[in-house]
Amino acid sequence: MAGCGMACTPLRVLALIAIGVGAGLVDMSMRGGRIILAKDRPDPVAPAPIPNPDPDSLSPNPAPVDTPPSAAQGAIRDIGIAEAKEWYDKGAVFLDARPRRDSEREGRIPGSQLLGPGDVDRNPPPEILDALDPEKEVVIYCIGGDCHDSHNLAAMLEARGFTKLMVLAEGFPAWVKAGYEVDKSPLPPE
Amino acid sequence: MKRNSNPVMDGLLFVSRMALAAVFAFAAYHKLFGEVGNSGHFTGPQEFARSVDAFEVLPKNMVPVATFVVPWVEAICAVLLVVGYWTRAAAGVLALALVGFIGLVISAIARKLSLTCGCFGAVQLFCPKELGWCNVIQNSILMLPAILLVAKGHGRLGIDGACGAGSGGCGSGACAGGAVDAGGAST
Repeated sequence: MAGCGMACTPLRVLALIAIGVGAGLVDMSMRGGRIILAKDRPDPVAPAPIPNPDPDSLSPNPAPVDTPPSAAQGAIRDIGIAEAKEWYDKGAVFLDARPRRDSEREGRIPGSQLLGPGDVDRNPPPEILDALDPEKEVVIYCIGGDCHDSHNLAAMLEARGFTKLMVLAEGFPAWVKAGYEVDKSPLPPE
Repeated sequence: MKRNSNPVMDGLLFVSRMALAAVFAFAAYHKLFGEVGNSGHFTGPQEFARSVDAFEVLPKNMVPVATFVVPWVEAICAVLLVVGYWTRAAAGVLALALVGFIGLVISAIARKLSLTCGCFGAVQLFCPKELGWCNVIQNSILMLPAILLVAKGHGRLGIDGACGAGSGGCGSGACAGGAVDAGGAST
């Protein structure tokens, strides 16, 4: 077979693709269940109604919303920098979903807790997770853009019963650009 | 059958094979494995799945399939390039993959999507984190050795070379004990 020249190449290309598909499907059947996609990310043209984005209604301990999020909308909502700052001022929990090295190098939103990509693999540190109230507003951020890490963390928390999850869509760079306070103190050792 | 042996071309083909194999093996490793999370699972597939999903070209239920199939195809082709077996086909598959990647990146740029590249999992090898024209150039450069290998074949130091056109091929058993560096440009 190896000597059949250029004529065999298209068949071999197909064979290699078939082998790759087979290997990939076997691997997926063993590990694919751990893939978490932001399938509940709300439609940007129809944002989920909660948490209430109206600044006037914000409070340190907002009352539970009467209408729970629908399955289609999910519990995760992308927010802008202005709303993130409002929730920060009102005492919402902030989670830093960036890698630890980024948090150390660039600083972080003061008071935010680090839950980096390595922690989002379905088993975050219990000392952090157990201290969070699933009914309380949580704002998650990473570097902005498509920012996989923040949505990964949000999806993981949603699966654990958290109902008021917000992702700062523009990420930490927007916080810095807005001139808000940044905590550059060293992180506690791992 | 007499084969023409050009040391310069043989060297170029060998370097092309190894370079292409190294890049795609690295990419496949970081997509399939990556870092180890706290629970002991590899985070690479999750990272790559997010990247695939962010392109918004596949339905959600196909994203995990692409997440595992793409790196496995890359890994298999990388191994074949290293050993020099089915070299043209392996390089051809990677060339097709690169064409697809280039198309995806241009499509994302045209749609003004702000994405990070999942090319090498969470690692940024040649280009900045933000997906852009650098990735198009990077993939175009990677196309060069792939096209060269498709056009010219394995070169020396490969199993294909030990089972060349004149031997009847590896499948025939005619090349038993054949030298690994038998050379030749026919795959």
